[in-house]
Amino acid sequence: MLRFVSSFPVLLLTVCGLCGSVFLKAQNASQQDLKRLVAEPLPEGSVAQSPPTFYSPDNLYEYMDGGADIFVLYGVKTMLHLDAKAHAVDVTVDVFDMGSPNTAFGMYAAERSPDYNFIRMGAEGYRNTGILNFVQDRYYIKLAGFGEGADAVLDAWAKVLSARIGSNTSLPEMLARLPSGNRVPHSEQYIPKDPLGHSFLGPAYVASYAFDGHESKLFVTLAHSDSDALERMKQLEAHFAKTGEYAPAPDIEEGAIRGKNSFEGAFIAKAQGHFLIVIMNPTAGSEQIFRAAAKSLH
Amino acid sequence: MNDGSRRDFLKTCALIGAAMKLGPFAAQEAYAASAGPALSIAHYRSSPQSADAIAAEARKLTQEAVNGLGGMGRFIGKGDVVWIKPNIGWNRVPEQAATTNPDIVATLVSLCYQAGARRVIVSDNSCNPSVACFARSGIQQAAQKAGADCFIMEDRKFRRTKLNGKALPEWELYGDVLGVNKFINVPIVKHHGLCKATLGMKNLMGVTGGQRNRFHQDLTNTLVDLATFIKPTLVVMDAVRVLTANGPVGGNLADVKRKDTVAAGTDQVAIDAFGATLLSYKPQEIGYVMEGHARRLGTIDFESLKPRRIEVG
Repeated sequence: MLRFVSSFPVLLLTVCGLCGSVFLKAQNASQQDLKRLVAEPLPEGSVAQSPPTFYSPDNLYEYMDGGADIFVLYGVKTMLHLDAKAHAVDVTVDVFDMGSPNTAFGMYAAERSPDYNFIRMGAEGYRNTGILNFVQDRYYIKLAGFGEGADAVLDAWAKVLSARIGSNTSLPEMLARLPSGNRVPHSEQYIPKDPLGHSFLGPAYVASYAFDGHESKLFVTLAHSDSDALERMKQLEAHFAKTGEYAPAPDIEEGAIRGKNSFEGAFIAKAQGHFLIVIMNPTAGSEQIFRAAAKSLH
Repeated sequence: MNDGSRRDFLKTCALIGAAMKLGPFAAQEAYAASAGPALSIAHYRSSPQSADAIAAEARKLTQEAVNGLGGMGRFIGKGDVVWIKPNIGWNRVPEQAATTNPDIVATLVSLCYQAGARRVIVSDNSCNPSVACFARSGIQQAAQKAGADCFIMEDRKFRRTKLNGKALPEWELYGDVLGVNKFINVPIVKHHGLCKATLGMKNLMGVTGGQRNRFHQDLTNTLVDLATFIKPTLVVMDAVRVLTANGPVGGNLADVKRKDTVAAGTDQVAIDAFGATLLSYKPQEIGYVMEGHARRLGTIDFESLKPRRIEVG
């Protein structure tokens, strides 16, 4: 026993060292992958103004200040920043390795708005004067250009980066399983933590549905298992029992509940397999969406 | 000395005393105590689209907002050394509304010199690489053209400074800032992913160094600590273009809305409370505005100051 106690600090240091080394290895691998994306030759005869700079969650704030927090929340692993010049155009290339296609989509979607000018680039993208942003695989790419002809240069950069990232040009599969009728285009989101401030609702896919000027929001929470989904449903019930009211709603769907409180409004919900389906601010039309989601996620 | 002049002399002494007691930047309370309104809001009747017309609008709004407080002469006197602190944090052009409008900055430089300033300095501790930010924002060129010294901050000049704040007992501040006797804070109103809005108090982060990410652990108290210590002589708020989403970095013109407004004031909390409304927030929704009010740095009820509203154009 004494021998164990005396060797415990050594054991602890060894475990910490191993964890640190695994983390560093992963970060190095991520940097190498990112470096490959901006290897020579660069698009449109661009010339890098200096070697790429890399940022981790620990120092991303040095580049983005308060803008870094949301990237950290979404689980950014590494970010590459490169300044390049293509003739009279200054190009800024920011590539975020978000660790997974889900979180890359989530971060991209957190910064987009349904009224943007969307383009076919990677899995999805949008552009405006002097900027072009898109998501593909585990990467969120943000390009900015300044100077005459910047938009054409950004197009060329986006195509090259997309080709170098490779084959996965699809949005996360789960989006196809959300009901499409009345869905507001480009309203989908992926929220990794605490949707509506509730840990039991995360992570979740979210989409807006419009009915004659009324908007409802569908949350599909990804639970670990069927029993975990039921547990989260209980937590939802407990929350509304405490702050408002809820009751069974078999008229909508077997196993569904409906309820409300004064600050979050009305909802309907159901555990379906390893998902928890919730519609906030429902209307008669959104009940149909609820049923369709339950069927699709069965 | 007759009674009247003695009264004036005593009043002047009291104001100077208050200014000296309250910090290096001559304390807005002293100005608030003197004649003149504490908040002035200039709004342009139209939203011109050409670059030249927007520049003219920004200049006119700035002049009118400052005139609404009684003119720059109320704040800047002969021989003053003035630090103008715009937002030059980002590698963005003015149209993207992540940085302060350069024509507002240039107008303030000119007004300071007209009021008798000996030297006007314009600078900020950028988040993105400074050289690109200073050039791209248009502020360096505009400020220098108006006669200001506009330079990039040097790491070696940050000094550990006692702030005695709730969240910041001490922190690195730019030494040269502490050496001037007037400070004009010139933020742009924009969305911020963490604290909802970047307004005047948030803009003060640009005179700090060190590991600024630590601020985000308690941003509310940090910002009020800074504002309590720095106490700008004057705040001039740019809301000609407002970044309404994806701040503080922005970049997408679709997120930029025209508000065609410049506000000027001596109450840091009140002007931030007004700025919050331009982003459709209630002032109470902005943590540092609430905290500033709670600590009596200023009033969240900006309407109670009876702001002078000026329609221009």
